[in-house]
Amino acid sequence: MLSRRDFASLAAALWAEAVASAQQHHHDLALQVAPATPVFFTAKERATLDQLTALIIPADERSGGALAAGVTQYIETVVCHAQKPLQTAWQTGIRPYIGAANPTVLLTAAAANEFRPRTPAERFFVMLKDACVDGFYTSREGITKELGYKGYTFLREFPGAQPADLKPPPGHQPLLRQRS
Amino acid sequence: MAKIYDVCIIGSGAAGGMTGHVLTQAGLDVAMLEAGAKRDPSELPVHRLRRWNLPKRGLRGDYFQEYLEESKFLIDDKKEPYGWVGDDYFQFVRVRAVGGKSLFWAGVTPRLGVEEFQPLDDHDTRWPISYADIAPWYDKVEALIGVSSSGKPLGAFPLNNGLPALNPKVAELEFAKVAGKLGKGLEMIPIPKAILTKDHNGRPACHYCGPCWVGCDSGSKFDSLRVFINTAEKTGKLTLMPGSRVRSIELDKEGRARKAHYYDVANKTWKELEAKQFVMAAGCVESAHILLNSKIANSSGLVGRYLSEHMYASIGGHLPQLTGRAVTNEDGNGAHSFIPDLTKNWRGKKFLRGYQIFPGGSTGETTFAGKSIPGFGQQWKKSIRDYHTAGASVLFQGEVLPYRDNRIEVDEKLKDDAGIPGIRFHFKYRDNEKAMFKDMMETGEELLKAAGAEYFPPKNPTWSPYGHSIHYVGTARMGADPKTSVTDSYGQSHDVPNLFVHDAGIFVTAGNQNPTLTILALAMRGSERIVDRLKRREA
Repeated sequence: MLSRRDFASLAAALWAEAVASAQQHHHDLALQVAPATPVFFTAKERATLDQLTALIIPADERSGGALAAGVTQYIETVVCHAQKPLQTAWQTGIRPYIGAANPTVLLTAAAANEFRPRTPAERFFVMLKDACVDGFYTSREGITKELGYKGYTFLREFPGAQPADLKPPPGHQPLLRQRS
Repeated sequence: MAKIYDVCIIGSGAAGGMTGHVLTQAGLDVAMLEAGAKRDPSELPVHRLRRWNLPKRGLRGDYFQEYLEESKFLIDDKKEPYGWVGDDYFQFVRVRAVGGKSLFWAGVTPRLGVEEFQPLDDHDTRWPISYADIAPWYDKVEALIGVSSSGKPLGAFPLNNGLPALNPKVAELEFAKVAGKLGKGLEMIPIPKAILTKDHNGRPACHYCGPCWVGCDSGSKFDSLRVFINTAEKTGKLTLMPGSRVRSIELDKEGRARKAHYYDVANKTWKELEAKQFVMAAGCVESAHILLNSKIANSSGLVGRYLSEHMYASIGGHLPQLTGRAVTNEDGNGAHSFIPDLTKNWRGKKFLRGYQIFPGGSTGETTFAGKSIPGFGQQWKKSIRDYHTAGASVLFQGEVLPYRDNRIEVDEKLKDDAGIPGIRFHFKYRDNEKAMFKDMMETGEELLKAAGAEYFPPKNPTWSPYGHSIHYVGTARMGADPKTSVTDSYGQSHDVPNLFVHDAGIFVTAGNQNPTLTILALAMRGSERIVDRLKRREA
């Protein structure tokens, strides 16, 4: 199942721990009248994250992308509750992008080796991209607008599929890659 | 003077509900002690709580568990702690509400077959009843609660007494086409589910809104609250007492059960209730927990032992023939087709017993394919949308053999907020489960390959955490010999004549099938016997 993947690397394990810890925070917040937004990043770091997440998941006619989905806030909530090494990894990873003239170029370079990341910049890209996928595709914006998910609605009957000789659409190329 | 009830039932889930139903229909005066609150079905989180409302977004550990925690239907483990040994974490999911776990089950109702009751191997298994003994009650339960048909018998898997079968989903058909080509004799058939495919006994047919484990808003899925408890209350014979956490059962001088001691959660006071008969139906772990705390019914030393469940494993991929489709509502009510246990065709000396396979997929709520697709930006997003309609997975549910040392024990240090000693799990999979798991992964890869899937062989495959199935069985196993079992085949204690166990505690093995239908059948059979015995005594 999807939730059981991608927990091999240390970063992923730390990330997961941070997500769990964020939940505890959420429970604690539930007791307060006005829950505070967790603050971890500086204003510059946050603005840079907004910029980067929007480059990875841009807005278009379907949805408002990472910005509308609050992916930066999702990341900040998780990192806020993370252990120190993961927090540091985010801070140092963002640094080269702060005030960068052309972040797209930097991102593209960091992405070139994303299934065999070796350098800190390449590793940061993977961490950022995975967090974007987690944050966006579990958000209301991502699920209902981007993916156009149609579930949780009523059907009078479930007609069932008919046996058919289904083929991949013309020009389909296998895209999936495994990270090493 | 305090009232003395004919029967006190402890627990209100599938077993307790069925027992209450049969006994109140027979006119008996019944008290039901339930630790959780009675909550209106409109409080079920269905359609209100969505993935984006969850702080972890279902991304760590277990979506189901996080969902129920957020909906406040689960026990708070801090208030009622439990333990495990070393690294052997046991995922113990406890629903606290009238209706119990039946509110949140997925509704899958396969019967156990001939070979589950009389296994072909000599592992420590002696059911005192055969399939033929229980089959009439399977028939009756299915007619009462309404289940969908499994279409036809297959191998040792029996045909049920069902309403129309569920229609197959598109990804299921892709697997159905190739299942037979593996040379293993695999075949997909409709899943039998306690989800109505047409109106039945005053309940409406399913409206296919999605995952049934979030709770059913229409009552089309069987749950104990709406099918049994509410109707039993209308007879005027059921006194339902929510918020009553039972600590122990007290015996009288003759060794008969006389009183239940329970904690009134709302008033934080201790109370007691007298009855002529007691039925344990708190779920196999909690029932054994109460018996152990009571220090009764355990001359065999087996209360709490032979705890079993199902091993879960899965492998996922994407089916290229399903990429780039238009998004439609194809959730149905979860899986609609499955492969019953046919491992007898090849398991040979590899492992004992067998497993069910649930191959399927759909255009689901979310996808994480983006992590495996190179790049970022608009084109990358488009590719994710294409793969979103192609997600597929093969899920396995296999029998964990019953082992004497897989057990719960009372741990006096783990006291709950009322001071009741909690339990610690001693639980491990052994060589047979490891061999079965390996075979599951091989078969999963064969199915994905045959269906043409894009997938990656798992790098470090592992089974789901112990307890993940929530199909806890054993702990008060039935049998003919009081030395090697806790109850007889009707759930009557060998030691305490007016004490009965009606939940999955009395299972001798887990089989590979989901347990609820068998819980209901055994509870109905045991309850009818209680009624018969009382009538004969009065006659």
